[in-house]
Amino acid sequence: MHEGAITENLVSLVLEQARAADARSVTRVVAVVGRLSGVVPEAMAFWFRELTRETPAEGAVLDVREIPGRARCLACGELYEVDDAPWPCPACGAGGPEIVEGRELFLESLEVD
Amino acid sequence: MEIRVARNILSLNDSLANRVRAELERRDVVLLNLLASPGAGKTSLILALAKCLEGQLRIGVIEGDLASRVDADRVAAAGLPVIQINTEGGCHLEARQIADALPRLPLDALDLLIIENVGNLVCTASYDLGEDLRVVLASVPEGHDKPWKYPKIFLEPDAVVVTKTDLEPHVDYDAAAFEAAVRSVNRDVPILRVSVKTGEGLDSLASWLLARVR
Repeated sequence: MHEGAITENLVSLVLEQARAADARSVTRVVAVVGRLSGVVPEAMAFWFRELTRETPAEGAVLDVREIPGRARCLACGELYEVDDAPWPCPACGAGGPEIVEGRELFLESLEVD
Repeated sequence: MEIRVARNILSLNDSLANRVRAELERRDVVLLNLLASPGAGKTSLILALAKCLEGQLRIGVIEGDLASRVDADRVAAAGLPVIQINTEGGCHLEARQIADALPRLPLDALDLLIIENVGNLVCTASYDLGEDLRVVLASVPEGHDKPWKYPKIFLEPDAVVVTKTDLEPHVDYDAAAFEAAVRSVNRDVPILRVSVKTGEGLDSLASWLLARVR
């Protein structure tokens, strides 16, 4: 829903890094997006194309690496994958686990010329 | 050439949020970020709490809305210092908007600053505004299944407040199912129930808040 605003932040980070490296152009951007981050990769890709127009990152490949949600049961310690809520523990049935992975939202790396 | 970055995409927002947090800590003001869908009763609850806490806490408000000054006018009419932020279509507030608003508020005359975020259960969850406390409202007429549809916003609030409890007899709302839905994503968060109409639960919420501000 707010991928436009988030991708604006991503593009500024990318352009800032490219400038600092004295790069002519950015060819590839690797972003890590957790499944529970609330960001839809397709929407991010759309905004990335739009927001990089007429910048050194125009035409760069956006590689979004999705990380599945993982939770730790606070009752029995079981580690398990979560997607849509509710998130009952498959071992003991308890809810309200600690989310250990899947909320990531970061710029991993970029390739520049 | 590859450049390793490994930086949070919202790192600029987060560093501004930390600046807001440090400034308010220095001025001894607690910042509360109030999140809810449109029409959950955020403004009415702020006004009711301000009345409850009159003489005990000095409260200021930042109103976030896509457009209009309707909410800010209501808050100002109650005599509270208020700043209206219009996001012009933006679906959430960001830390930079709070940083810009701070110099326009009488911080030395405040104990608690409440941000009424844009009505939205999705985008607002992603942005740290520099708050010390995060509270999510869920009104009875919205239904009891919201935590399953918007789990992210229920993951880390300091409290979940059910509003409009006076409407329970009139709508298909199952309070136990709501609590179970919250617990399915968050084991420990306190769940408080209020009705601004009847006053039910306002004192408990005011005490909860008072204990965290002092």
